[in-house]
Amino acid sequence: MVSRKAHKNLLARLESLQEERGGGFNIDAVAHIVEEAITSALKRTSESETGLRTELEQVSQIINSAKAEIANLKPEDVKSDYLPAASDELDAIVEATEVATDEIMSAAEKIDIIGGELGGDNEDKLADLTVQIYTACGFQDITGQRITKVVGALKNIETRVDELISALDTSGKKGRKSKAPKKTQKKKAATGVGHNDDELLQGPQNKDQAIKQEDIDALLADFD
Amino acid sequence: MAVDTNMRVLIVDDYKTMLRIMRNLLKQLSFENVEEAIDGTAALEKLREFDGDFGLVISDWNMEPMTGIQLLREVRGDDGLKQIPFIMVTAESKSENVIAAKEAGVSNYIVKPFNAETLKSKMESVLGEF
Repeated sequence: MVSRKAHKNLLARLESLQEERGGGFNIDAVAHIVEEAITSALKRTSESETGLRTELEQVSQIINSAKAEIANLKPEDVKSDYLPAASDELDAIVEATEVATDEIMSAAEKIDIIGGELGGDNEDKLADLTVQIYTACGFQDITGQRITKVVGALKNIETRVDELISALDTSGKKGRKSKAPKKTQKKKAATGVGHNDDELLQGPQNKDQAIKQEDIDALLADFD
Repeated sequence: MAVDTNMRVLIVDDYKTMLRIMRNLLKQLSFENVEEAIDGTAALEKLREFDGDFGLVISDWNMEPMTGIQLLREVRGDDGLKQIPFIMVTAESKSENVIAAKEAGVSNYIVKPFNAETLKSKMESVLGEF
């Protein structure tokens, strides 16, 4: 393909030749100009092809180098050892807090019974304290939900690592497919605010993202 | 008119500790006629088992297989149940959740973690003072 610049040059030279010849063309002169243009165009194509080849070679080297580096990181170990271990640790945390919370709750319930036997002011004081203990035990629900979110994130990482292993074929087994389960497509029930039910399941929010009880009260009041 | 604290209350949560906490808090507020369910499906069965004879439903949102918002929609879509006050108690604390719950017909909304005073005041706003 003749570039736009070469095309302009060609036209300019032909116009100049036309002026020189008083409107006529010398076929040899035209042939010479065209030949020059073709040679120049071929030269440019050859140069750009060489440049492209060099660039492709460099890209190929970068890819090979990245593959080697990722292989050294042993993504298979991340998938087979680190991620399951992290997941197990988190499960153990949930289990341990559940057991501890159960024990605290049992103790508080016993204090409640003793308070009932004591009667009078002491019963009320103990009841107030046990109520505080009960509500504080709600931490287990919140931490459990937060940990579930982290486990979900780990599963997501595991899927990505699996895809990376498969894409780069660091194990040498070509064409291996990811064994990680695909994200299940839950039935989406639309709500009036443009969110489906799955999108609304976010779990506990960080303080800067969550709205407070008083904000919720105000929001509900707006409907009334 | 005084609130009948003998009314049957259904608490729904997939965390057994939260069910225990809620039962104890309700007991402190003199509500001792309490039934439990671990998700929306079990809650619906319980509601129908007693022919909708419940004075209040207090439900979590995030449960499987049936979530709290799905339960709320089922309750509001059932002629025998739709009049039952429904309080959502959940860690889902984004405004879109509150709006979705309100649009589905929630009576009140409590965000976790909550304290006993909040539970009492929201129950009173739904049922009347007790």
